[in-house]
Amino acid sequence: MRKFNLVLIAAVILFLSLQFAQLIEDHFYDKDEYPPTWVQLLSSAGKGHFGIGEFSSTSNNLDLSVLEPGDIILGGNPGGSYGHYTHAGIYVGNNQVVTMYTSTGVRLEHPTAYHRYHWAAIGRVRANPQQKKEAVSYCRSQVGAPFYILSPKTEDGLWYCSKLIWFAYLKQGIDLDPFNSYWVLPDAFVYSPYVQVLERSEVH
Amino acid sequence: MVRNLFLLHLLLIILTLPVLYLGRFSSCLPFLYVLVLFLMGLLRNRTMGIPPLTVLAAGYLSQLPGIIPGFFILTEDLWPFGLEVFEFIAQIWQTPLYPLYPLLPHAIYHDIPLYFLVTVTASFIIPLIPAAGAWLSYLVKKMYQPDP
Repeated sequence: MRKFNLVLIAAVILFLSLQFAQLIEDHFYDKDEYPPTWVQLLSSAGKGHFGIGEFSSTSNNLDLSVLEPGDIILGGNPGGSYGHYTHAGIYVGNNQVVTMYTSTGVRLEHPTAYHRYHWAAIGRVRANPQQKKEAVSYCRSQVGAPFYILSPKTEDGLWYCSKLIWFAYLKQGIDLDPFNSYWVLPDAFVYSPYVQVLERSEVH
Repeated sequence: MVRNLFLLHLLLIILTLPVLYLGRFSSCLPFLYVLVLFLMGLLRNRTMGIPPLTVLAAGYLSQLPGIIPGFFILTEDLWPFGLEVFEFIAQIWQTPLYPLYPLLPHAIYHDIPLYFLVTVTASFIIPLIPAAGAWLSYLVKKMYQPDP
């Protein structure tokens, strides 16, 4: 009976925490500020949202013709649990984007893979051609490396999509993360003063 | 013993996250884990007489949170639903092994990267470590047992 009570109390505390996180998240958005990652994750869990959300069955028609090596390509879906955009890749030329997933590790994919997101965007980093070339080269060198969502920013052998892009540009002296939290979320690139969003598209 | 092995694994998951800040030194932690598992099996047999097969069974039960998603991922063609949740659970459960992954070659077998193959299969292999310790203790006991 005592164990049951403890489980019940824990469940109530968890439920209240998730509801409270939604209130905190709303408070941040009301002030036009970006909420911390932990608030977003808890708030999304409270709404039953986990991961990258549901993909679209129709293309978002993002104009891929503007892509240049070093550009960041972003995708997001309704129900994503950590921000508006939940996935990021870096265009490395020849119709190839360096990106990664849990089961694939760092790999190359075609940019049209971003058409299946409900919304997508292309960001251009304010960097000189040499810096972009070095960043692209670093990302290419990591193809085949492992994916690990909980890896800290300081670890340079375990990656998640936005961390690799952030790290590649950081090595060129450009910090694309304005939030400076444990994770570098794809949304950080949209808020970064070093990134100009060239294209946005959304499924209607 | 199932509970102890399970809690030890959970402790290692929690410990690994701060240890990853140590860069390549973090790869010592998985080796330490293997050593502790081996000693645990060895001591359980030596002091409590738990047979190696029981230790093995306890190991498999304690690794169920990795075995179940691993099974689904390895048999993914049989299932009509996406396995992203299982991939995520397997990844988090195998956190204690992640410090070793940067040291692995970037090899791919049948479209599966080596590190992910390790992630999926590790829970089937980890129980063999305490069982090996228990088996060694069993052999030593048998060797030094006085003849009747």
